[in-house]
Amino acid sequence: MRTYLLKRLLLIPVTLLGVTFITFLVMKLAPGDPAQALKAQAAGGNMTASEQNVQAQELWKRERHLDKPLLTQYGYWLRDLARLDFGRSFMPPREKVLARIAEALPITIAINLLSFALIYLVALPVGIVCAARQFSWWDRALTIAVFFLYSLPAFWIGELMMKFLCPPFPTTGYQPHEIGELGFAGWLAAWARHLVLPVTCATYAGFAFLSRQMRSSLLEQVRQDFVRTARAKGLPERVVILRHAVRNALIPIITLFGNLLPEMIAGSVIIEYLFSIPGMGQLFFAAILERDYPLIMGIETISAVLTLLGILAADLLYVAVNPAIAYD
Amino acid sequence: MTDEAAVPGRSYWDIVTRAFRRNVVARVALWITTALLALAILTPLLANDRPYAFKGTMPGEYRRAYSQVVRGAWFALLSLPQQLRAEREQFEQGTATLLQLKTRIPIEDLRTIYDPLERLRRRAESRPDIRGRWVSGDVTLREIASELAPAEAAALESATRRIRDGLPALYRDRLRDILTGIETKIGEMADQLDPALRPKAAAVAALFRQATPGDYVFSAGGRTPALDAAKSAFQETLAPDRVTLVPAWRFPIFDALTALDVFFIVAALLAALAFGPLAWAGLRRLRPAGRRLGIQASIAILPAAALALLFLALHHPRFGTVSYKAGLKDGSIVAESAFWPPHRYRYDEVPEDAAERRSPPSRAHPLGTDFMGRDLLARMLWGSRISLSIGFLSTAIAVVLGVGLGALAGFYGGWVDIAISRLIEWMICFPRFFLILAVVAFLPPSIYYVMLVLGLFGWMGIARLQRGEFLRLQNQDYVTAAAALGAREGRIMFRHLLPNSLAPVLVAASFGIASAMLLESGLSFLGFGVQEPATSWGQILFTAHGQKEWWTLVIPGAAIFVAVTCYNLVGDGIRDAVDPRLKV
Repeated sequence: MRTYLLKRLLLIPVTLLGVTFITFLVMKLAPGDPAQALKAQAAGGNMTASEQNVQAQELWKRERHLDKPLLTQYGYWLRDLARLDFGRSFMPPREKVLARIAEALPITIAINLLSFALIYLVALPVGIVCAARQFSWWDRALTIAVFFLYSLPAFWIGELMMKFLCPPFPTTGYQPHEIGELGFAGWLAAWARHLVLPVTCATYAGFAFLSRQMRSSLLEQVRQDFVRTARAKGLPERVVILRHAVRNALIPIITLFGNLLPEMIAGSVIIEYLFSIPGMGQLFFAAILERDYPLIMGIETISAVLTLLGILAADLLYVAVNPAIAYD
Repeated sequence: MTDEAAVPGRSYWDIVTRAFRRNVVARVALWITTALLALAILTPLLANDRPYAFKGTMPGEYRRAYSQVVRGAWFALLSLPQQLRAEREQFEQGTATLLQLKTRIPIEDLRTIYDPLERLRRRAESRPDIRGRWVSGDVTLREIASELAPAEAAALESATRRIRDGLPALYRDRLRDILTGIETKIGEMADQLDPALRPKAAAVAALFRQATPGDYVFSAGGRTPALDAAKSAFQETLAPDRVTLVPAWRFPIFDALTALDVFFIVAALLAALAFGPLAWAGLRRLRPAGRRLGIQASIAILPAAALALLFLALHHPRFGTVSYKAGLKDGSIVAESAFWPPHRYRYDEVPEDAAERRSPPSRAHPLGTDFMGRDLLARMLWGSRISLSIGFLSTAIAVVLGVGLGALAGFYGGWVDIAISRLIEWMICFPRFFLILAVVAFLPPSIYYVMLVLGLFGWMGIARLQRGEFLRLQNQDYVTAAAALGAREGRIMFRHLLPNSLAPVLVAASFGIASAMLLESGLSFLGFGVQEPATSWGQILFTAHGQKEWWTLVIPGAAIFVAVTCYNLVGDGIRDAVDPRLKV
């Protein structure tokens, strides 16, 4: 187990390096010079170059190491990363990148955690029912329903909801600042009302994957000898399935949220864009539109770290739950 | 089911296809995906604004070609000697500009005077009075020469002299181009004439060719008697009011096709033939299934490729931008009979009539129009090509990479396996969507980048499956037998292991197509995917964001939903057909 854990832990910095380096390369390959863009912005589009401006531009570039070779720039960035300094955003107001991310991150995490909980809450029973009554009417209907949901594009459903459901529900999402006027219960109700549509959009696609996995995992367990023994002992079918088979079937399922995590973080870009939720997805979208390099690098790194942490947590849980590999 | 496998002659794929066919839902889904694919391939023939064929004349084009010769080309011809003289004088007297020097100077001379010119330019940067003229290239050669050292000035002088001497040759080339243009135009006009008149047209073209002796460019005023004679012959024989145009069959649809379109359309039709009627007729008796598949594929692909190459070599689009519908309406095209595609609109057709914008579904526009008045059915059809091709191409890249690397890892084992497995684990952790967003947002917008990134970051699952299958199959008896008979490693891999291990890969590929389509529509929806005027289903949703018209919102989304569902169902069907454990 120690070697297994060590292997997984070692993977994190290597992957981080890979992700950040690729993002860094892509950004540098982009046509367009951030210094020029910034100057144009400052001059209001008026680009008459004077000698002082040329000098100022050179100084600005040298400050940000934009005149050094690529690998050196990457090295500087890594050094700053070690100090958790992501630099300042290019966009006005020029706050620190870490501050902007820290503002937006909790919102995204809240929505994603809520979605995860809902997905597990719904998909596990669906999978169990499908497996317990394989090939019956329930199995077919639920499979079709879940398939149906998986294939609906989230942004389409979001748009349709906004068009047809919006008079009852609000169109913009998260409102974190309303506590004062409403009191706690009122705040909770408002929060819930704002979040129903976005969370629904983010959640329904995950049902299919998880319930199918639960179904096939449980089916595998149901064919095992211990289930036959339990049935032969005369235990009611419900106890056989729920108390004995499901436990073993849950083992691989627990690790699956490592698979779900990257998709959720990615999907949040679309959901937050649609419902105007000020989370990481929307921040990333705005950063790309403005070509705000430090912010983009910061967000990519943080989301890569979160993804990796999620995968690591899934692996740890797997080790904790599955006695078979504890002695690896 | 189990004793079917024991019957001699039933291969693994026979069993799988039999089980798949028993699954009604998957079969229906397969038909739907095939229909979508067929619609996408045949779109240029189904929704286009030009007719397949029409019998008639194009007087508008004739008149346009005529006036292009009589006015444009003629004046260009006449002004050549004057321009030559003027330019020669400029270079002789040093009034030519730096820009002209840079345009005319040969490379070897440029190398010698480049450094002095750079030095002067840098010096000029600090003098606001002349810097503007240096930047725009307006400073004259005489001014430049005055600031150069004697040796450099001499180099400049000799360069200038060489330019002056080379000017006549340059102008003669331009003359030749203009004359070739005139001949081509006469050829186009002759196409519409009575066959009896065509020799006369050829004679006029010949007159133009012969009217320009070698030293034409030095004649005063640019006119020679021969040239005048050619022009009057042209005006007498070919003037629009003096000829009657003869109706002939024309096929404008070919101008709207590319060689790739031709390949896919012919291949699709031949494939329908090979897998349908021909298969029923006799091919089904051919065994093994692999050989039969190979023959059917060759029947479909080889003639299609040949025809496409032929098309590429022989087809020269003419009248490429003519609007046939407008022409028929205002009389510049006269047609006795015409055969139109079923839907007479293209995806980028913007009508001048503003009343057609935002119109709901009607007889003329079965799916309505968008905010610019473009027909939605045409946009959906043309958009399906991009949506489906992104799915297929990116999955193809992922499959090739995944099968290749997975096979290597599974077959060779050892450190190859370890290295590839680590690579897979490492790349699985990448946040794919964010990387894709970064790539499409920074690099110039092109769907090919999207396809490449989707493929490059989607092969890991397939590689894992392939590796697992190879590890499982390696110890089968037929592999040992093949090795004992002396088969090389490559042969064992390709001929024996690969065909039997492809089933899980097919499943993953099917799901991969579905998810690639979803991803592409998501990207286009954010505005980062396909750019105007090209269209894809996600892009239509992008333009529909925040608009009042429900049809631009509901229909593309429904189409994406149907396509993705069907691909998922097919994948699920194959998975169920292949997995022995799910059958009790």
